[in-house]
Amino acid sequence: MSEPLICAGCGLLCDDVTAEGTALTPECALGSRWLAARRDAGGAAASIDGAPADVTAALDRAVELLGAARRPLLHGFDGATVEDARAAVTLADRLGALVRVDRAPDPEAVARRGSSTATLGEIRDRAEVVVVWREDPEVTHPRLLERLGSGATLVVVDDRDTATAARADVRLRWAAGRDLEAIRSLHVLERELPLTEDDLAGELRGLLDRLHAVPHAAFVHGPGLGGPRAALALYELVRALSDQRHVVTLGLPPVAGSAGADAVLTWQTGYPAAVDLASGHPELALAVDEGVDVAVCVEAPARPGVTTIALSALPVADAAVHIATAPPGVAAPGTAHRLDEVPLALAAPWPADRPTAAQLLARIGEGLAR
Amino acid sequence: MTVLVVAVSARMLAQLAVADGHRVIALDRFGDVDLRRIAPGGTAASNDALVALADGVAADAVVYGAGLENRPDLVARLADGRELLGTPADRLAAVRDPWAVAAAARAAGARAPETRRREPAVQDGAWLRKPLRGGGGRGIRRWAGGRPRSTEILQRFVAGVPCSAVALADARTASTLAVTEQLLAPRGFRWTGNVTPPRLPAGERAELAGRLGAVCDEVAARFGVRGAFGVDAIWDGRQTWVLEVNPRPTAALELVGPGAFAAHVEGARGRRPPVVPAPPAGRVKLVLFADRDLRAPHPDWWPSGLARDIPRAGESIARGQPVCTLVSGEHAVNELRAVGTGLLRALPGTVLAR
Repeated sequence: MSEPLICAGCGLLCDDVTAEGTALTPECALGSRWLAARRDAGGAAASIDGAPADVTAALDRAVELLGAARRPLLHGFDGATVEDARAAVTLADRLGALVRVDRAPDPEAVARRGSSTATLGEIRDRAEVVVVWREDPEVTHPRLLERLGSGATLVVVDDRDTATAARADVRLRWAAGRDLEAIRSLHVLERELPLTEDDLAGELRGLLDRLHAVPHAAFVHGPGLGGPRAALALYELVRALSDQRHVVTLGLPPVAGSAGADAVLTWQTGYPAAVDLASGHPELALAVDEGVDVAVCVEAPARPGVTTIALSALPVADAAVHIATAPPGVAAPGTAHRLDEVPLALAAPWPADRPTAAQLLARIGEGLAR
Repeated sequence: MTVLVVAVSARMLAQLAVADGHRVIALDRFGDVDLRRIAPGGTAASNDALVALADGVAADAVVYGAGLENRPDLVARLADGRELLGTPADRLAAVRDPWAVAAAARAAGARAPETRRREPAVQDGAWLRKPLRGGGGRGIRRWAGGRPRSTEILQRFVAGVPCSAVALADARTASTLAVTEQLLAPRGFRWTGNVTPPRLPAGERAELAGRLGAVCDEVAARFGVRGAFGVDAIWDGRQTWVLEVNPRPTAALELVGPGAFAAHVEGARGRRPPVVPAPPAGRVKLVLFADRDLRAPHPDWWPSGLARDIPRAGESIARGQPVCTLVSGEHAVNELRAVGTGLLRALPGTVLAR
């Protein structure tokens, strides 16, 4: 029997999906893999140092480790819900801990610059040029181009022959190492200043002409952009282009849970991505990760080399404590944010008798209060 | 190589060039004793007159210092028939444009204070009026309303520690040589010197250095800056606010030490500059300004090894004009200020009032 589902296989959170077994309709290999991993997640309810344990004993051990921690960290959130992230911030506040959304999109650029963005629907309805910058959403976010519609000119910046590049109306093929220079040069040309290097000038002027010719445009980007400097430069370029038209960025997070957790961190502490609560008030902590001795890892892989309390539906290697959670969107309901920040209520088509990470974090907090 | 050095004060650049084995001809406004000891040349009272003097000088290359970055026309004239060791004239307009610099700063994750040509409709917060083509903090004052002159801009005042980076660029990337705290006059905004490193907690220093490094890199690539240059900024305790770029060797280069000129030449030629060791901590440069009209003493009167830019004996120095420069690795800022105050106070006994 097929079950309606919101698929959290990628940040698109497609809400028009049905599942039969692990096969999805509309068909999506990425979504099927996501569902299969969570429906098959069995194993012990909890473990301590790799040995099966009951949940209460595992929670006691977690409380003991965190009670003795000098520099605790709560991190991960790859597959977490908004409720999980909210509980993590509450516990971090109690502990005076660091909180980090491991795969937050462009944390430095967002924190320092802020981004101008739009919903998928707005881009679909208004953008006449969509520039996909060194990403291959046909593989990583398989229905993105479908969701953005077919009305816009699709420009793909990539020197690799990807599935997305195969659908491009216009291709720009400089090497990845030149992305920062290219974005900067677009900005220089936009300000009508002279270029310092001009071998890309023809392609860049062509792209700029296309952007100048339309009232609405969007840049789709992600980890392929190659670091915070390029993201900062892109956000500043978009700001400059928006002087005369409406231009937005749409980040493609590599995991489904990071957008929601990032939003929770921002609305609860004022800062995105990475926050230090050790001083009693929130501080942005993009580069401060030293000295962490105990980590609580929420619905994500563990950090190597740190004593880890893993609260995760999927197995986590080398955790001092692991407590299996009900997979969000499969066995437990919750709220998730689509990659364009639209909140969606995840269903629980196959409920399981396991706690959520949010419930476990609350119980750890109660244990610490005793 | 014979290098022509043209600047408001050419002594520092001339000494660095001579230390690297070059012959130097120096043209500046002062013709200080310690400059003339190492380099022939001439003096003139304006940038136009200095460049007119330069027309008749035979040299392989030319380096320009403070004062010329606002005059691309004069830089182009200096470069006629000589190798220009510095940022080309056609790059200067953009890199001195406060709005273009602000965009570069933001693209590197720093901030830039709001800058306007006209008065804001509502006077919210504190604003400064600044010369559009200024330098050394001269002519900056609080804005108390009224329309700024056509040669001025209005810029939001940012409270914090004034800082600067001195860096080397090859027109594509930059490497930071030093981050300094700028020492300003007790009242107003006039630059009086630098200390490296800035007197900030280690964490703030690291954040400031990282951000200024990114800004220098962005400036080099975006504007095609070549050779040694500087970025002035305010550190407000959390953020770096970029004020301006000086696309030529800055006074703080003196704190860097040997090899700085050779590295400047490499960068100016578009080659990745050699690594220059970081300056030793706790070096202070302090310019003494005349607190009244003075006449300079004999050059031997000044403490050797400490005083530079030494005026000629009997030279008249008007109130507010620079007297000499103290550079020390032994004194804290306040100690060196006390030395400077003592020297200025001692001058009446050794000189004739004008």
